[in-house]
Amino acid sequence: MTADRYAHNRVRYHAVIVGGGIYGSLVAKRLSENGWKVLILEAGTGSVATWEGYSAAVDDYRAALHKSPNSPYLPNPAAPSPDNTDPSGYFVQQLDGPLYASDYLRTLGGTTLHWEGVVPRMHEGDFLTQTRYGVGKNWPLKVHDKDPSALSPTTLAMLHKYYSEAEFELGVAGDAKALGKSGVMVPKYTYPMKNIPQSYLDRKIAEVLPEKIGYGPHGTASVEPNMVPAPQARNSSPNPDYRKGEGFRPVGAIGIPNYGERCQGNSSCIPICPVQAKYTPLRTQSQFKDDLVTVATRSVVSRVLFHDPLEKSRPRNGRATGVEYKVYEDPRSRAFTTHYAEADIVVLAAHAIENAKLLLASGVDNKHIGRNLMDHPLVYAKALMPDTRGVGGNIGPHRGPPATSFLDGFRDGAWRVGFSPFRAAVSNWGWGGMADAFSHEVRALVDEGYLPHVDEKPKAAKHLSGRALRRKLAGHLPRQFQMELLLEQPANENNTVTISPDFRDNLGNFRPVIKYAFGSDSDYVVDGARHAVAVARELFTRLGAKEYGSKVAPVRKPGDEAVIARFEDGGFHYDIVGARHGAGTHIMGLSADDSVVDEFQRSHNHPNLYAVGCGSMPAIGTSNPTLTGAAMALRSADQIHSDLMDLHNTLSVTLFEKAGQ
Amino acid sequence: MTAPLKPDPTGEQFAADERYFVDMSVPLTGFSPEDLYATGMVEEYQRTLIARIGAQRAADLYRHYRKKKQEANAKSPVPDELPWPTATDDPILADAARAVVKMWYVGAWYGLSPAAEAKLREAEKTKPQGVAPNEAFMVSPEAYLNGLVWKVSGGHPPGGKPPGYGSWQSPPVPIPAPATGSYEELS
Ligand SMILES: Cc1cc2nc3c(=O)[nH]c(=O)nc-3n(C[C@H](O)[C@H](O)[C@H](O)COP(=O)(O)OP(=O)(O)OC[C@H]3O[C@@H](n4cnc5c(N)ncnc54)[C@H](O)[C@@H]3O)c2cc1C
Ligand code: SF4
Repeated sequence: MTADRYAHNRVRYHAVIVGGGIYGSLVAKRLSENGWKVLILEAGTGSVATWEGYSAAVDDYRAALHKSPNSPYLPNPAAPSPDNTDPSGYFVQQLDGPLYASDYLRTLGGTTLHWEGVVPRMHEGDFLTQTRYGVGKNWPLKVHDKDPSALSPTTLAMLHKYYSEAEFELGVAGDAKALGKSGVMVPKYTYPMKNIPQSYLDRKIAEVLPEKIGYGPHGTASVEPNMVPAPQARNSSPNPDYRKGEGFRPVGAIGIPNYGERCQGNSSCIPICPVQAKYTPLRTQSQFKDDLVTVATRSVVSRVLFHDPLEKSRPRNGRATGVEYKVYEDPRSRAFTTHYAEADIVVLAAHAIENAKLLLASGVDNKHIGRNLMDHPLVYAKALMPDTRGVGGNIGPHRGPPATSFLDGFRDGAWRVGFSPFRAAVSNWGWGGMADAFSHEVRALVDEGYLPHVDEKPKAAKHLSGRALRRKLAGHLPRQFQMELLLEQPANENNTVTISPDFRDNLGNFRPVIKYAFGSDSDYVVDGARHAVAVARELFTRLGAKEYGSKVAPVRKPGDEAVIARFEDGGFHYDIVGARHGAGTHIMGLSADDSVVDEFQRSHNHPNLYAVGCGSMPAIGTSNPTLTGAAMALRSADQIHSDLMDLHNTLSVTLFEKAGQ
Repeated sequence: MTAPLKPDPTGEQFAADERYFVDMSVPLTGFSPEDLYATGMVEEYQRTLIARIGAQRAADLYRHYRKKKQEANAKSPVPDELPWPTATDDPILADAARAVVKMWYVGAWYGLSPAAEAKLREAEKTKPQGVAPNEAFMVSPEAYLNGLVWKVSGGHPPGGKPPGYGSWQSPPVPIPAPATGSYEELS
């Protein structure tokens, strides 16, 4: 359908949702289930949203020389996406300091097309880091009457309700009992699907796991580590006990509804699952009711409007009237047409950074917009299994999903007053994790004759080939593994997304101008990283594995992942990169004095404008944020339903009070 | 097809019979002819090599490896790598040989070094064989999936050949060691 229809026929929607990613799709689905008419405006194309398009993307990924997260998806200059190796390709930032390069993807389906799909809940302490540890910002949720450092029972019940609903929508596989032991909030609960089996490597590590690990400065904190199956949004076998015996039926693949494949171990969840065993929003979109949800692709929203451009006499009352958007035919062209969509409620669900950009471009008068950009700092500790363990040290890297276990116990504790906690995952995908990683070893051996970081550099260049090359690779690659250490970064107002008329994309929309560093939290993050690396080393020692890494300060080459900070520890240089969990850019709080949105993700300034997603989160602990974001999006959808009921005055007061809960 | 391989094929002969390419790939990769054929990539790689350096130079590379292979097979024990064409003899062939090894292992053509590429452009001026630009590229989606590196990694190519639900719980399949005897010669 052409977008003109909205303008000329003045079709009015109950809600217009900006962005067809995970949160936009979840909100649209829920609103339409309640009978509301919804328009999703999606900046990207819908090129992967068909079976043929999706299959073509899988092929493009296989054919890509560099298998970056965005490699399966066609570049789109009309709605550009950032790239983790090109920090100023789309973002505008100074290149001589810390670099923010967490990528996201602007196409129908959004960033979770290429996400990993690891979905832990947050710890209770993560919501109250300021009260408990004097770190970062609290979530504006009701605390316990008697204990301000605990959430109230109604808050906990609310969180559990929405977490469970999000886990249903995403079809999460997990083992609640095992997770409960690590202190995650899972009361008596069964996940929709059985947990994804833990890998052979996980078992090797579990075998040597001590009862207690000394942790922190001089090992002062003693932690009981726990190897738990990582909860994941990918298909295993449905849990017959789910919802008291109701069971669970996974949603099929796009184009092939009955193709609800289990995870087959393709090991390419990032950047694309060939069999669609991993959750993507395309699944949620396949459940849309056609008569209630309209999805318009190639429609880039440029701002929220607070007046009626077609009827200038209509009064301004602080309510959003709709959005302005630009429609392009050809992604490579600069040509576009401008349109206007009207709705009772406007929901921004365009990703944390894009949401901030849109709020700024719309002139929303709130000084916290675009502040507090945060992410999860990520460090990898690399090691080689010894030759003697397993099958000649062969642990079979690149088998199964990237992480099937968390090494838990380090995510919440008293130490958080001094340094960042961490969430460790055992990475099943060798060093570097990406599918093209092993090409580095092949090229190094053929072109230089040695493995950087592992072998001494030979005096004269040597080139390996034939049986010698084959033997050398077989003795090395199968033993590679790494621990992924994900840290907490507290909200910091100096980390900003802004806009400037000087920096625009092909359609004249703003490019995000980024200023980002650990700044005053540098010690907090880096000390946390050092203590995390120490735990990884303890495990390496117990496995008889040897750690490897760069012994000299690395120099970033074009094509390398952008780095936020570096530190040296135990003779190795570690890179801290972003986990691609951008958050905090429109944080929630109590009023416009301290934040952008309220706990329902509704703008403090404009009562019918919502900004949903990780941007609303005042703190993200050490949990990959998307499950929490999904839970919050569903909560927002319920609140929007209540708002709409109110507006349309169709139900008694008592009913919608309940719905707003 | 059973005609014996010529010791000194012309470019056309090299291009017309894929056995020349397989024969030289045996010592370059350390894999047997059966393993190489099993990848399904022989013809595509042969075409890629010819397109990048020209058929006659590809045939020259074959001649180099045929000779070195015969010398190696006469030795005891048989050495597990053969001498490359040296950069002083022929920088183009030296680089092309390395590009062939990488292509077999990774599925990508990584191209020639700037020095070798300059020589190639120069040679093309006097005796043109017709060569494509020097760019790095994945030969095809199938080439990626069939890279030999996945036979020595303990895993499988990410995004293809999935080993099945739950397979990652089990120990990986042992990796066979390369042969040690004479290099196979296709005749
Ligand atoms: C490689 C990678 C791995 C990840 N792994 C995990 C993980 O394991 N677990 C986890 O919890 N999180 C993970 N994440 C993070 C996760 O992907 C994000 O938290 C999530 O996608 C955010 O959802 P969103 O809907 O806000 O944004 P997106 O998913 O980016 O969706 C936004 C949508 O809005 C559209 N849009 C943008 N601008 C406009 C505009 N102006 N007009 C109209 N439409 C617009 C976009 O095209 C897109 O479709 C990962 C991220 C990456 C990059
Ligand atoms: S491991 Fe493979 S099959 Fe499973 S979700 Fe990831 S890509 Fe899909």
